[in-house]
Amino acid sequence: MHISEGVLSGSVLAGGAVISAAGLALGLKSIDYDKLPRVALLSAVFFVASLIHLPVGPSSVHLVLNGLVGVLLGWAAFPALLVGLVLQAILLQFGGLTVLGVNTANVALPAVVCYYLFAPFLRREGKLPVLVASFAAGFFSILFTAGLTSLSLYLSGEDLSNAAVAILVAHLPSMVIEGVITALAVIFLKKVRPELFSRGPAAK
Amino acid sequence: MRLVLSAVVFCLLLVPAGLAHAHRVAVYAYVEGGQIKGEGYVSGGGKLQNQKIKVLDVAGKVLAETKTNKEGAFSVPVPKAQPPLTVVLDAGAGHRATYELKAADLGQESESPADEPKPAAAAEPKAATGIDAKQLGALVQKRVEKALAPLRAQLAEMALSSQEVSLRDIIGGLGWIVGLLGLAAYLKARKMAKGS
Repeated sequence: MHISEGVLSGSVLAGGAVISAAGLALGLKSIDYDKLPRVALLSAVFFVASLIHLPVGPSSVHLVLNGLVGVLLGWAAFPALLVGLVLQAILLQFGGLTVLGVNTANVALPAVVCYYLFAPFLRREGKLPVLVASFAAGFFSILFTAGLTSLSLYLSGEDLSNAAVAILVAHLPSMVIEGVITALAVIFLKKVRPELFSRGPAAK
Repeated sequence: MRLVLSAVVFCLLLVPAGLAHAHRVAVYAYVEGGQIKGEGYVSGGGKLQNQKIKVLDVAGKVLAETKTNKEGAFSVPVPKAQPPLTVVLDAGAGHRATYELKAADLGQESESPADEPKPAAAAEPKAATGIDAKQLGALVQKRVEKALAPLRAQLAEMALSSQEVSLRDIIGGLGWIVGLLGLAAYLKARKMAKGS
């Protein structure tokens, strides 16, 4: 999910930066005093998650967990993921500082989309809708991120004509794994802190 | 607080599992016998097979192209161009790594063909052993390169390991996040105090 430096064209870099700046502004606005620790915590979870590699066939995939970050934070996913990506770029040399805008947009936009699509179901009482919605959040966040990553590369002139399907297939195990882990995390959190999923500033 | 605690425990449990791998590609290159040779890796130790390798000059012009083989290795003839050259590994899907070959890395190639023939042709007749200077030069170079091979392997290993993620970096990153949280909380609290 981390696009390296020197791959993308200038206009794609600029576009990503603009989207991320807008998301960042909206996200920062949505953070109140009580929500702060949660944002920092999920930022830390994202920062560490990319280091976890799960072997899949001959290759391996790493966790992103932007779906989990999204359903718990909404627009605040932008600042949380940006901080994680900045630290990954500086400390771990994942991605890079010039691609920060694009990489942030590629993981944070799907997170916000998953928030609007699936977070309402997580407020329900029944087990099944929560299970399905949280799995879907993990699954689709990666699908969207893979799509946006391909789009960034395509707009920069990389030939993806026969790679699009391959990229999708390559991310399939990743989507399922993220779905399962997101579902497990949501079910656990709902048990110990059900108020996390309630609406409005009451959530702590 | 229970949430914070359980999340911290979760993060710490993840750390050792994560140390083994990191999703990055790297490339290492050197010049040997008129060829640019090297290897492509996924950091964590895996070799990158069948990936595009390009050699660029300073202006970014593509001078040579090849692909890595099953062992992740590649070799291309050294192109005629001003150093430094940049070896670019393009692993697709936005994964890219570069390695710069400076003048010194390329030096033995640009100097030896130019310098050697002169003394050989002018001053030195065939020695009693029947080996002329040119053959001797080639022989010496072959031997030196053979002797250097383990050193090069070691260098490649070091180049790779220096890019591994260390526990120090991870703890440092988590520390930064806690620090930012403190800063943000402080600023928000001050704003709230002023507002009330």
